[in-house]
Amino acid sequence: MVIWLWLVAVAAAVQIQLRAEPAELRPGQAGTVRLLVVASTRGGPQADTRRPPPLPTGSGLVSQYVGQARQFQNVNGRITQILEIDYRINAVEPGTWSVGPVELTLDDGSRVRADAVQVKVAQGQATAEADEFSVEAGFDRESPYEGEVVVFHTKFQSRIPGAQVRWRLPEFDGLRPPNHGSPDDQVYTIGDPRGVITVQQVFVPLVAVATGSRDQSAAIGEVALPMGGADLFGFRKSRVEQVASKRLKLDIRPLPPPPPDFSGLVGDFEIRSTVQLKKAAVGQSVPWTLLVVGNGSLDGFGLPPYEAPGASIYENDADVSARIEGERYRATAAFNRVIVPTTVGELALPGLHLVTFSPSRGEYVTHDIEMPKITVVPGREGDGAVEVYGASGTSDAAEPVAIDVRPVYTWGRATAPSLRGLIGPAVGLAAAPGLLFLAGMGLRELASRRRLRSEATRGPPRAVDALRGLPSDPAERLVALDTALRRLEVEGAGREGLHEAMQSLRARLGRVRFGEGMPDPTLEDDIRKLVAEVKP
Amino acid sequence: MIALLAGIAHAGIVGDGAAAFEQGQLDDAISAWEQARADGGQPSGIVEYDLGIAYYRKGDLPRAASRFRAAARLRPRDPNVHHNLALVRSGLHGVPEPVGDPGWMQVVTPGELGLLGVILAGFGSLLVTVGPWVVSGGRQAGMVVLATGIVCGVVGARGAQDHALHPVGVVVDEEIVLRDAASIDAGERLRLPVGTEVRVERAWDGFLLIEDGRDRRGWVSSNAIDLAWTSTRVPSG
Repeated sequence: MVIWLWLVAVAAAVQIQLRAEPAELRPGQAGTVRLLVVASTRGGPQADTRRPPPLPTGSGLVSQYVGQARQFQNVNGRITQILEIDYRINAVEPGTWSVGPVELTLDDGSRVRADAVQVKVAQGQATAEADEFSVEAGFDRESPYEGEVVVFHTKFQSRIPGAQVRWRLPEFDGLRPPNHGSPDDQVYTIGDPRGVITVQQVFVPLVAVATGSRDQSAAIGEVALPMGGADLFGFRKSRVEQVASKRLKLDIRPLPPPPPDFSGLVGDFEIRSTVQLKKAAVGQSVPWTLLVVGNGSLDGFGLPPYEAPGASIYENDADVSARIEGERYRATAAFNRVIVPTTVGELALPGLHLVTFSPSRGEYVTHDIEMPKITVVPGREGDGAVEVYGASGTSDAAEPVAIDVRPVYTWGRATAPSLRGLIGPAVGLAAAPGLLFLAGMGLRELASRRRLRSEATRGPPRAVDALRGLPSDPAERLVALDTALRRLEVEGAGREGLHEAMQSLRARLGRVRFGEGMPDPTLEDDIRKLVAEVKP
Repeated sequence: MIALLAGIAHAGIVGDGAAAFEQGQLDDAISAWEQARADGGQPSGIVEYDLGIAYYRKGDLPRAASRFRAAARLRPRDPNVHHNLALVRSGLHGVPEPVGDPGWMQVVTPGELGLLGVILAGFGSLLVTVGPWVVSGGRQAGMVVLATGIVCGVVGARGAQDHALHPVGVVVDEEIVLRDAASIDAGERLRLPVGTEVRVERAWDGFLLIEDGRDRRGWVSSNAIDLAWTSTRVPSG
């Protein structure tokens, strides 16, 4: 569900609101009432939500705290925190009962209040049609005026867990979506003694842009109803049923002949004006906000030109937003202007008049906005340049203040020892263990690489190596001589006469090693000679 | 430690000067605060700041600017210092743009950065040597911390050295003439009005070679400039 904030322009303050889902129950059923707490995350007071506030209800309802959830949204570049505190309400007696109001105490001691909402408990039990599912679709009114916003809504409710609907909406003839305010999807459940009812609702705001009788055909819904148990992968088969709404018709009425100063707004609007200062200096900026709130479209609307003798009026930015609130369309526009007084004295700002068309009254309505008087005192008006002062929000003009030096310090250290000569040695001392360790690691790595490289380039062991440093033990010495002869065989392979000489030496060596053990004093020298003769 | 104890011993100077200041005795206050400079001591940022206010109250804006520059060097994050320095500068008309310090010196002092470097280098050393036995990837992290510490330390030491060798000075009393050489007979290069903040490059025989922040240099008699900090060793020659 899209929770569009009810006033994007006031994100700095804490706002709370109650929403009832659904707004109508039957005895024995249970719904949800949600307390939305919207606060800016940047400074400002916060609500203490450790203990949820009590939710007063009429005698036909019983409320119970369920839980709370927190989320963050980026609204016009500002991070806004939304706390949802949920209460379950049980319908006990038929009637229309109020839920709320609720007051929250903020951490700065101030209090904010959410107005009460109405919940209707209808007579009798839930209808039998709701046993499987039911659908509804239609407009909130049948005879809107041209330019008026109508809300098309669909509603699907079912007791079957997992049941869903997909709507194919008709081509709306003579209607178009407004620039502000997107469709709103709402999904909630109703606790019922015969099983939980899941409700899916969609609200689509549309502006009537043509006149006459407009046949909108019907909305088609494809209802998927799960059947049977889950398969191996957890999926359930479902059967699809198509349902159609009744034919939707609209009779769009033209507006009566407008007065010459008609603003173009069609809807029931409320206009509030706020001038932040009652006293200002010449040249000082006085913020002025005009808030237009109503159930009509604000597309393309701009404030009429405004002039005030003794002041310059500057247009600032404007925030326009709209949303579905409950089941109704609600648009808000905050126009920011700046009043800069140019003459000293009492600045009497002329009133502002805005003509709108009210569909509920069926006539044009003139809104007269009274403007306050501003006391203008001499200020620092320069040579034609407008100086802009910060809008502090205080009601008094800032008196000219002489800028002076800040006061002296009365205590503290009188001298500051210099660390200049110590920094370098201290850093070196602190870094030395690590650097030495790293250097050692580097040297070890270097030696290891050198060893690997030398091993990679070294050739196979040679006979002369075996004769270098012969062991003193006679038996080991003979083994070394045998090794030398074996290597020599490989080194001198293919040489003429070598084989015979080696055979002779091997025989002599074999006699010494495995024979009678008789010494052969020239054997070692003969082997050395042969090794020396055979050069690789 | 000795310097710390000496600082504590001199702590009463701040209060003594403040008491005289509150009674409107500006000269006594200045004398009291200037005591911090006795025996070659370097006044703290607080004393420099208080001296700046005292000179401001006396109407000696150039010396006030000099003291506030010194205070800004020692207390770069003190908004009062910057407020008062800006106020003094706004009262000095027709002076060129003051010479600036590197951007990081407006956030930390060289000493603070050097200290941070020492801590990081020590911690990095520890991680390099015993890190692998404590945490996975400890040696790599240690090398990064160690390198960061060394860089901080080097930059801090270099900044402190630069402060010492090239102090900021303010032209006081009267307009000065920058000359080609360290002599009163040398050719005239440029004139700088009272209140101009300049950087000293080196000293020679009672003269200072200064730079005005726009790469213009010249020699000037050392008593025409009030150095913002004096426990420095301006290189001669």
